[in-house]
Amino acid sequence: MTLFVEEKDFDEVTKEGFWIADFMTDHCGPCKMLDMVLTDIIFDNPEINLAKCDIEKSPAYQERFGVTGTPTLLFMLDGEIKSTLTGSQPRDVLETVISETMYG
Amino acid sequence: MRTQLPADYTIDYDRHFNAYLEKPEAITSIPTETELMELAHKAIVRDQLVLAPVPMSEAALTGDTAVLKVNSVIPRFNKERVTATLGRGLYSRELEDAVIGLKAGDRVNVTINGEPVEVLVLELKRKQVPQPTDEMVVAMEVKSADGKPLKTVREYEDYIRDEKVMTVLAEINYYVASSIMEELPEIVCSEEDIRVLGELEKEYFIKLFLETEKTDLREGIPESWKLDGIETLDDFINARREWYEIKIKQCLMFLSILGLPCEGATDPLDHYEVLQELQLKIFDLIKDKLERR
Repeated sequence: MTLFVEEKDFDEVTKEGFWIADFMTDHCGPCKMLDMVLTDIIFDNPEINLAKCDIEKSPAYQERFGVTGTPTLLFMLDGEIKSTLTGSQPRDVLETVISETMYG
Repeated sequence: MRTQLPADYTIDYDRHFNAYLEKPEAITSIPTETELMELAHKAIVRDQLVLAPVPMSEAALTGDTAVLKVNSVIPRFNKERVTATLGRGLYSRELEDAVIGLKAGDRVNVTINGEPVEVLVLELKRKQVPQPTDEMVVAMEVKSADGKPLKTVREYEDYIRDEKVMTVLAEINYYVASSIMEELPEIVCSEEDIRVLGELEKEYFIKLFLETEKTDLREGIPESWKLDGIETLDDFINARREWYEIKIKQCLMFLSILGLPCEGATDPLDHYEVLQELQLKIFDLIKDKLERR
């Protein structure tokens, strides 16, 4: 599942299951690059959920999570942040983090 | 422009470009049309994927989602209920491969890292992929580069084609340009050049926000810009001094690579879009180099 999520709804949306929170902006090149890789991963692994968090449309994200650059990814299991990555990443790096976070 | 590269300094673009291609993470080709269309369709249906139960009489296929009970002394493989896509390797390639061909209720034993793992298949689900439609594209609320909402699958395919190719070229350019910038000799940027770039960008932002957001930045800036004591448009422009220095150096670098003079239409102090135009010329250069490989 992929959802665009505002900060006020973030906790409710991500409280159960495995979520990747993608802090991005519309005009950030590396965000678009990363989104294409994430699209491929989500398509192949539909049990992974993706929360797209636009930090310009919902600026409260920056203060709450200390997001200083985009893209930033949080890997969350049942509402708990397990890992963080910053910058565009290749598929194998993302899959390694997903595997460790989802299955421990 | 007053700032200049040292007269005797030359940039060996091919050396930096080839060094980038040697990196393990390097992007070494432009995506094919088939890859681009596949990506566009995946992006359109990404939000519409449904996992439907597999009938009890049918066996698991690669790509199915399995809900499993696993039992082992290894904590990762000792869970009452764990979900995995079969054949992708995110959980365990050996275990996933062993489940392919089984039905719900079946059991299998595998050995992982020398330890036995008992697996019970609780449920099987199969991904239902709908055909991309214009309605799905409209629901995505994506806008083209010129701000128009995309309405059809065809428009989205064109958008992804442009976006993906540009993103790939931008990614390569980022690494090659950064490598060249690191080697540039010390260049002191003219204060006047920095001031003029600030004025150009100020005019650009005011016009952009009047056209797209219907707001006048001279009367107030967006909340998301108000960081570290930035309250006005002038504060915002002054805080971007470092960016103007980088922009000046990038322009000099691109002009040198392209063999263009820093005057008239290619002078970054002539109009705001010069850097972007020079960058597009560099993108053409990269594309040409990749296609020749």
